[in-house]
Amino acid sequence: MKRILVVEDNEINMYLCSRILKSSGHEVIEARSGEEGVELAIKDKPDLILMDIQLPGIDGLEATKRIRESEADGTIPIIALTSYAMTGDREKALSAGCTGYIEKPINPDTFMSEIEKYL
Amino acid sequence: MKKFDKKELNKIIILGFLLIICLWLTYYFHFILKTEVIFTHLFYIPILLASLWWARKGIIIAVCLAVMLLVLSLADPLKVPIYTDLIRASMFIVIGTIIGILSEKRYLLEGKLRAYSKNLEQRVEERTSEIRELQEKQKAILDNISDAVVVLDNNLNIIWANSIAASQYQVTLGEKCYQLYKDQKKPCSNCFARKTLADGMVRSSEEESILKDGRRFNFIISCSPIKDLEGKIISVVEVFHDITERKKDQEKLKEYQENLEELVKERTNKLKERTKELKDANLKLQELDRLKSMFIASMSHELRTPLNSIIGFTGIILQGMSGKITEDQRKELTMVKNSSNHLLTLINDVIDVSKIEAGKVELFIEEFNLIDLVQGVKESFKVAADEKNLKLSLEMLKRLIIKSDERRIKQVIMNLVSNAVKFTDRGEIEIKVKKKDDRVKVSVADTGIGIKKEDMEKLFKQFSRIYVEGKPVTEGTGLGLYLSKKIVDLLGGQIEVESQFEKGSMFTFTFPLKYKEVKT
Repeated sequence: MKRILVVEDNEINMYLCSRILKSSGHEVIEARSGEEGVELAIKDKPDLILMDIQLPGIDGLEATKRIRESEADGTIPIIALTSYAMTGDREKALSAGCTGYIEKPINPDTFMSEIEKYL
Repeated sequence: MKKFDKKELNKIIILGFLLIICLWLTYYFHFILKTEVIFTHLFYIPILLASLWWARKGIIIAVCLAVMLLVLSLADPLKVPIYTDLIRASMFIVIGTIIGILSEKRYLLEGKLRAYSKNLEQRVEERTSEIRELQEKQKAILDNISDAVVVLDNNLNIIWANSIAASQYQVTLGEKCYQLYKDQKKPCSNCFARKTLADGMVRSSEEESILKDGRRFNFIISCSPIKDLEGKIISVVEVFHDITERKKDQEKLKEYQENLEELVKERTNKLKERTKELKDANLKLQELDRLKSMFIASMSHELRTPLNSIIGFTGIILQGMSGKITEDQRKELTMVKNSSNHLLTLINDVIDVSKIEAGKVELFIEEFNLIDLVQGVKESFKVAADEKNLKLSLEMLKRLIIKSDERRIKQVIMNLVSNAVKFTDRGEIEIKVKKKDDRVKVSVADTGIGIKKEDMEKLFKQFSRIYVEGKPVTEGTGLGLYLSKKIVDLLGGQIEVESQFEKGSMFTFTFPLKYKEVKT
């Protein structure tokens, strides 16, 4: 069982993610804004972070940067949830310090296998 | 000496006749009336006069008279001593000879004179005809030039005019030159003719007048003197060169120029307006383009958010996370899932097309193992292929690291394999990956319906669909191959197709092992 932080402002997505993760036996920490995400990441030190890019307040990129800045070793895998339409999101996510990315919409068939690569 | 002509013969006959009369009179007076011989000689006087008149034969006449006198003397009954007759006869001969010589000279002189006079006459005639010819020529020239030519005497009366002057300007001989102009009763204030008559100078200037018939007349007038042999000015010649049309043309030209300037001004203003309009329109277009991009971005996001939940929760239910489901529920939910995935592909394709057309595709070049990627694609089509009972085979190297845009390469291969699965009902689909020099070749071959020749060229065009019996063969937007081609182009590769209708198709695309950016 791992502790996974999901930073996502959309309730449905949040529910979907946590549902899939929980059914695979993981613990889910929920954050609904970038600021909250940074705070919980520093406080709870999760095993993995799922980071939505488009967020109210500071966005996922900024949040990732802040998390990376706070870490001593920078080992928490941060997986960006990117949108297909936004050109350059993936590149931006990787250069902001994300470990990988999963393109939305989330496909339950492959979602867990992709996450497990980083756990 | 010339032969006798008819005239001369007449003269001889007259002389002969006179001679006979004289002989008869001499005979009559001498022998019948017994007159003194000396008296009878008077009758020879007319003969001598006649021979003077017709003098060339004077010698012959004189000889004849001498012989006749001798005969008369010999027959003289009065017996005048013979020597007196001989003296008389010799006298006649001498006189006749003198007369003959003189008359011969006179005749020759006359002949010369006649020849001279004839020659002179001929020359006069020649000269006259030459002059006439010259006159005709000059008349023809003067009548055929387009200028009016008039000659004025020293009282400004028109004494000669060429035919143009007569026909075009109603010049009548005898009228005053200024009467050519409308309502003019006295000479012009700057009359050239009078000045030229006075000083013999040639003058020329440009004038404008109203003619008798009311026409406006622009002309160049030139005025030159005509002098007699002693150099006295007897008349002037005036030449009127009509420039009315030229003047009109000039005026028109000026008018046109003015119009043109105005027109240019007007057009320039219009152009300025138009430029401003275009600028505004351009700004509007830019704004529209921005709005369009925003719309696409937001649309894709907004469309995808509900799609996320549809796909996500369908998946969750299908995976049994929410409890067991019946076979019918599974079947129906799978349909929902497939439709949702299809909808997602459509949205993605539309977004890609708009990006490609706006030139906003950003490539993300990185190193990756192509074999893993192809393996992944094969895996994702396994279910679909199994459902149609198709064999899906893969022939490739164990490892092939390339440098390109992984996601775009995947998109193309996915598209080709998806098409192959879509259009094949039985048989197999074979994916091959080969490396050749510094290029990679990926081919997807199927044993599907194939492509008709006439459909081949529209294959890679936007929104082109293959129709069989008027209906599209399968669902789709018609954007798949169009996008694939555009992507392959962007990656510096080519895409080709070989196909046989109802036998199958093979799509091949090649691209560089290491992507090289082409700056455009």
